Amino acid sequence: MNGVAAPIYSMRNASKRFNGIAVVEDIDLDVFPNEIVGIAGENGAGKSTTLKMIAGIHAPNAGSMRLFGKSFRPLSYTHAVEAGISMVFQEQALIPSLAVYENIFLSLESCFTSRIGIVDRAAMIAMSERHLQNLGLGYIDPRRRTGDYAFYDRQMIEIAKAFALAEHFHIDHPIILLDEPTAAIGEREIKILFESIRRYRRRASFVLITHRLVEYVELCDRIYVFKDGRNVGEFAGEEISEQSLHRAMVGRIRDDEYFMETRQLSLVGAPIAISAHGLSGQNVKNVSFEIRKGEILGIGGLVGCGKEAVARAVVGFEPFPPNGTVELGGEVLPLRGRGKAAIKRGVGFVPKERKSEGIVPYMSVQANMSLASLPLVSSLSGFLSRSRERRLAEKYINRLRVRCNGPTQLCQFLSGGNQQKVVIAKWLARNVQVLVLDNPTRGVDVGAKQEIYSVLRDLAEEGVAILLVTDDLPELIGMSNRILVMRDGELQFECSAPADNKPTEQELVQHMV
Amino acid sequence: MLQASRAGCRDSELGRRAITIFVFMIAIAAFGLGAPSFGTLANIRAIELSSSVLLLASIGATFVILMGSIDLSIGAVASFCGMLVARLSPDLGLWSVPIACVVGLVFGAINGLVYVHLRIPSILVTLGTATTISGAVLFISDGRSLSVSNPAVIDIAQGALANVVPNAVLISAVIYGAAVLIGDRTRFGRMTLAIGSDEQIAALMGVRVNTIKVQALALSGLLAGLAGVLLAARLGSATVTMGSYMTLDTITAVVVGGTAITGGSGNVRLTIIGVLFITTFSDGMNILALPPYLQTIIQGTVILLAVLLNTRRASAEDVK
Repeated sequence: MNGVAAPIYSMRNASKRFNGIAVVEDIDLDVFPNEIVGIAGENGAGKSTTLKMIAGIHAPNAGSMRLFGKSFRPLSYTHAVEAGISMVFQEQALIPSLAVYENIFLSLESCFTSRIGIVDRAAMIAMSERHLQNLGLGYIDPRRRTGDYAFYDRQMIEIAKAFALAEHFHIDHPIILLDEPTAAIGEREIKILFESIRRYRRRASFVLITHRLVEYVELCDRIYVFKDGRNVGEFAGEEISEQSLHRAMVGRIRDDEYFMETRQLSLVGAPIAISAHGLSGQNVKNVSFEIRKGEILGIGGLVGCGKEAVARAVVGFEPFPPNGTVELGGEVLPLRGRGKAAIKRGVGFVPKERKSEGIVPYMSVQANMSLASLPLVSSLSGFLSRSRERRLAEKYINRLRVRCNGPTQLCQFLSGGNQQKVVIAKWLARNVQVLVLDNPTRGVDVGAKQEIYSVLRDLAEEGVAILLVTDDLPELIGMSNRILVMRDGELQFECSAPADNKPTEQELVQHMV
Repeated sequence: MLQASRAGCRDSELGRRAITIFVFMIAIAAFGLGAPSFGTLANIRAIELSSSVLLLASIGATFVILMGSIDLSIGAVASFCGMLVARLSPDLGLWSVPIACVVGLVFGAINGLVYVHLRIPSILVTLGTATTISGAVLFISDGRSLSVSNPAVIDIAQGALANVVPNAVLISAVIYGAAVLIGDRTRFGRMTLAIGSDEQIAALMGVRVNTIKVQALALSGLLAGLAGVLLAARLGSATVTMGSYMTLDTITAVVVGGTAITGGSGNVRLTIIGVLFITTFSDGMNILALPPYLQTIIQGTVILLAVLLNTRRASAEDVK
């Protein structure tokens, strides 16, 4: 196919920045007719952003796109749909309370409206039925509530919608973007989905993102590999294998300076600070570990492997897997009210969603920093003492080099990295003994990243036990004393990672997939 | 440069308030020029008194709205507690006042408990209890107005310390001061804001979010009850719907004071600006003897303008 036909879609030198941070840079990408294209890469490599640029959701800051031989500059997703590109959204863009046919023709009702303003439901239903049947989905009744169908069926309805919309806009050969279509469905459904996609390719091209390399190998004709927002490889036909994709995806030269590996402690004989035994529950199966004082324990694994749930269980942040125990200083944390008990015993948690779980944007830096330790900044009268609060904030602003205009600036105006430092300061102010971090440097620029690493090293030197759950492989390897790899909720692999003998990314990845 | 201009966020915050205050000043000047009686001591006192009542109720409403919840039962609770004082004061005298306040507190606590434990949105819970309590007012009054004749009770609102500061003003000033302190410098104040921003943040601090929610609604009920008592004492009588204007006026005062209706931003200190705005405007238009229909039209428009000046609209992602 390649080389014979011209690409129906092409992207040239596309770049996208968010808040000045380049997420993808200089990307070239083509889609040929009847082709299934994959975009592979680690988390944060820029896969989703690229998909969203194709779908008109993000406008590239630089570069150009062409579609069906014409310059293509979508201003919105709607534009892209009109031009023949549809996306099957990970978070599902169907409205559950509407009938299937209403979802398929959502916002196109006017095309089915008679002169007196009455929507021709029968025509909409008939057309929906035809499309569903064409795709072998005759068992889906377009009149039923969309929410009555299982996740997988809703996904198929979205694909049917893509074809229906393409026909409506007179597009013969639409491009359908699949954003992790297999993330929430079981093996059996994945098989059916893939068979369907292979059949549908006679009428469309697909662009696929998934977290499982094996799926690229199984499904794709051609694969682009992204790393750190750049295009680092293109594989077609015979060249595609899990190994070749691995090699291209990882294999970055690790910079030990960056992670201050020389400051990593050796922990012979250090006492155990916290231990977890047999953590089990949804998505987590029998996970046990212990962390010594001054140790940084890293947990890695693909998204959905259950590592976040382990972190939540340790700090008691609901919902967490309920079985198993967490022991801290010889005491088992209770199941009910574990969060409160954990905080009381000196456990801090830097959550993944900084905006919704970490900071209060309309509060000042000082108010955010003191949020976890209000009694410490209160005077004898029981009221918060402004001067104590200010002193506390100034101390941590200096120590963590938080760039702000002073303790009273609203957190809203800080960059992501500095907001993250405020979240960490919140726990430092409480003198935590154990700090659990979930992807602490996500969306943080390089400089602030290194400062956060430096703070973690400081804390380790002070004897704080650190549990670092991260999707970032170099960070996992560079920072950790010991690394656990999880897959499908189970501990798959454990290795120590002393400063002079770090495992390679390949070694870890092979246990993840 | 951008960083520098953003850095002045605190100043621009003040700037935005300054515009509201400026508009407010102009309105006062216009009223004063238009009607000589606007500036008389008697009229100023009237504004003070109606502001005191509304301020009390609005303080409670502020904490609830900061949390991202809403209390639509304030008017009904105020009516009930005012009526209760009128009903009880002939027998119990001054004791009827704390009793009425406790009843307000209980109503508020019920709102909070239903909201938290049955997981019904606060807007629906308080809409329901507002209707029920309005019915209960009719029940204890037989649907009639009652006069408040006990001089000690009347003195609560109409008396004055050293013949200068009316008692009602004194009471609301003290409570306002306490509320500012609570809002800025207690865990309760901080956590209402954190909950309004995102409940997860407060939960992650080991705070019992439900307890704070119940406390805020109970406080709102208590202050609505006290506002109703003061209103009855000031008017010298209690009518079945006398407090109902407060439900929407408190929300307006809070929002004009710069608190986001979605919660998570604002504070109780500035609610007083909203209260003065509402009471001064309605008083001024009365003095100017504008036709009542026109007054309503102007009041609505002015409130929209004030909200426009005073909220962070640009930063809201979804406006619902």
